[in-house]
Amino acid sequence: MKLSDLSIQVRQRSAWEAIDLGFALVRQHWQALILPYFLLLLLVALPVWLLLPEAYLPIAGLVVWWFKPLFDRLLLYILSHQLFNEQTSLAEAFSALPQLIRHTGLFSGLTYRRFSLSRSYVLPIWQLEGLRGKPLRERKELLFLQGHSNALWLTIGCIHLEFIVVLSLYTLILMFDPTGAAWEHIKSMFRGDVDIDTQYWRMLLDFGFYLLALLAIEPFYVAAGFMLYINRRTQLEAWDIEIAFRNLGERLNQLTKASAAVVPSLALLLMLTSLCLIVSPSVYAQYAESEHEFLAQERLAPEQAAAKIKEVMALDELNNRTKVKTWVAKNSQEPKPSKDQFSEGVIQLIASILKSLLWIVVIVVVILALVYRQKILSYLKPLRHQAKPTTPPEVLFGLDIRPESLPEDIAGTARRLWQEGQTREALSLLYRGALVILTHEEHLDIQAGHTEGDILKLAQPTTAADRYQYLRTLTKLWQTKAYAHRNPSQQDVEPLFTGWNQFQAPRLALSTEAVQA
Amino acid sequence: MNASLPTPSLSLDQASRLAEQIHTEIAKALIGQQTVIRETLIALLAGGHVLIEGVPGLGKTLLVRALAKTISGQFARIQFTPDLMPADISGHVLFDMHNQRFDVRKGPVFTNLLLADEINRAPAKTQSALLEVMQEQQVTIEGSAYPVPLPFMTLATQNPLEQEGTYPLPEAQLDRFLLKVYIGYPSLAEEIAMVNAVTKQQVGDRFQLEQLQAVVTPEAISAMQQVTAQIDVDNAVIDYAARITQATRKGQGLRFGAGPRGSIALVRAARAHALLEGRDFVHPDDIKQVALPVLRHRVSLAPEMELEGYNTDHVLTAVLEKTEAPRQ
Repeated sequence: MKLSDLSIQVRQRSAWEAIDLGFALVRQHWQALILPYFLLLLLVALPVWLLLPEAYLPIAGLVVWWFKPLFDRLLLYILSHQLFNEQTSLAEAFSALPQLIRHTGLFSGLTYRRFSLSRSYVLPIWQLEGLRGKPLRERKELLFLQGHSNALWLTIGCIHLEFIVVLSLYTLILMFDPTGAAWEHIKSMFRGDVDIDTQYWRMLLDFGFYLLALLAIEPFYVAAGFMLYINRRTQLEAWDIEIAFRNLGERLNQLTKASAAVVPSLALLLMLTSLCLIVSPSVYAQYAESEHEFLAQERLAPEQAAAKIKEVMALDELNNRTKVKTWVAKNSQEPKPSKDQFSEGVIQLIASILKSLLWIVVIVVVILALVYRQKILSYLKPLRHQAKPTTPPEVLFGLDIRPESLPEDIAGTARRLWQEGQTREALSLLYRGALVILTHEEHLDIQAGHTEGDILKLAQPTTAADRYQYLRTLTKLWQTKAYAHRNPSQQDVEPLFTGWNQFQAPRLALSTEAVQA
Repeated sequence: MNASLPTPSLSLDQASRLAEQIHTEIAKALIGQQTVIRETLIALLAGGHVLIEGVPGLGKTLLVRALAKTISGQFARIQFTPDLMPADISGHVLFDMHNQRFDVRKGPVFTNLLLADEINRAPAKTQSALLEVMQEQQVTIEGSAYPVPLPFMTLATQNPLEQEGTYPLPEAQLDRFLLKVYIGYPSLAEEIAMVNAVTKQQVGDRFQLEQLQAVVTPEAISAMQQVTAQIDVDNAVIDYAARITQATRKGQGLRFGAGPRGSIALVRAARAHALLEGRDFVHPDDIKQVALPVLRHRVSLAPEMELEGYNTDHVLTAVLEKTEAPRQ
């Protein structure tokens, strides 16, 4: 790439000026662009049209739209060569296509980067610089510091331009269609009416119009993005200054050849003068104009120019007035459509627009629900927890606490065990019985991680004071036996045997209910 | 000093009652911080050290001064600053020109109660000067070991808000603290009582420690520590403590769990907790009660949990809920 070969005038421009330059570039090189692009568009559109079943023709436009990144790559390939005054033939452009498909990030462009709004601005980094990974990210960050918002607006603007082209084509048809079928078709797009006879041809017409819009707008979009990119690099790498110095160097070389005897001081003077000429805007403008603008050879004085303009304005071609006579019917009032019919049409139109809007809202809601699904699910969590039934555990602290595992007369069995000297078993039985009552009757949610103290705390709010006191004493004696390996005295343990029946009153009620059931 | 100070040989009941008296005395000064006082007493009885974390102005220093006053022991305070040197803490040797010999100047660590104020403001090397004295209860100066007076207890404080210019305590140092105690804001009623106590007929804003009585001697504290050490711990309870510590190593939400010193500390602190309850044996509830202050500084929270706003207490509570209680 040689900067001196650039076909555009390299200088710092505003972003909008750069976009305008891109449009100018397409106007300049449209002949080189249009044929390869048209053929590629056909290559994609024709199979889509032929392969898709008739009923699916409306999505043909969508498929072609999806392949825009492919078209962009070909357009950029041609534009980048044209920019450096390299002519590309049709064969060359298509020969480069496999390379463009493989090595320019087309896969990501057609998948997860398809909805990028700065596509044309970023494309040169992928295609011309060939960067990937971290360098690509860094490059993008640097380029996006300026011009990114312009690239976004360029994309949005071009989308609208495509719609304008399509609507203009419909308007064109409206102007030439005396039957009103075109107008019916436009209305049916909003109303969703289906005319079986003409539906296929209408859809084909839509598809064709969209292809024409793509053909007209996409080159401008790619070129404008490309020029935005070139302008940003000009800013970053000072291409304009580099070119100015090169020109200066060349001129100095020529001067040196022409007069070898010129003293170095003169050369320095010339250099400074040249530099002044380059950086001076007005002189630079003259220099630029002489190359690129078409002006008359001689310049007139303002007075003479004014006289000349008057002379031109006085020409017949500019002052030609003709009178035309035509017949006009006396009763020229056209039958107006009845008010009811008109209002019905409007209502239908509004209804169909509202229907479309409603569908858009539904789709947006579904997308938002998917995006925020975790938050929504977290709101539902408490409900799920509430619905979850608590099933009492069957084993706690290694003790079997199923009701059926206990003897009928717990206190009597415990007393007998106590008298036989099996103190641990006796206390264990009582404590096990208490746990059965707490889990099955009081519905306490006792987990494996709960200690004896935790169970007491859980039981306190739901247990009557005397029963709680009983449970506390039992727990204390059980802990003393279990962890200190000390036998409680007869005096301590006796109230446990005698008070058991009162403590287990709810359990008895439970058993009675079970028998009755 | 109170005339009726107890003698060093103590029964469990006496030790328990004395602990209650100390608690009552300190509570006169440190109003509304019952848990903090209780946990500090647990550390004192278990012969451990305490790291107290709380915002300024909640009475961290007052707690230590009240404790020192109550046990009539020696008290020293070191304000940790970035330029504090290890020798400023442990002491150093100085050549006495007059007598032509080297004299050992003992540092402030030679005391019963040491308040290391804002310990995280000193660099790690200075913080590490406390390692030996906290672990071995002795200080090595110029190759000679000097024991500190017993009972010895370090109460270090740190401020969780101001992190600029601080040096987080290394894990090895943190492990030396038996408990990490959080000191929080008092309730409205407690704050009113506190304002009353501090401002009533006095100049300045400091609590008059003269109102507190010395209820025990340092020797009695040593005797209470002996009683604590003799409290029975069943194997099932030790197993429970070890399983909790193991669970912190496997549990989700923690970058790393507590080491074996965590299990040891759990049992030591549980013994002291049992003594405060007046019991001569430890049961699983004691372990569970002390688990949070014992373990919270020995584990490290995983970054993702930290980002989601959880702290170590949340994760440790979950670990405790999941660890099965002893099955007898």
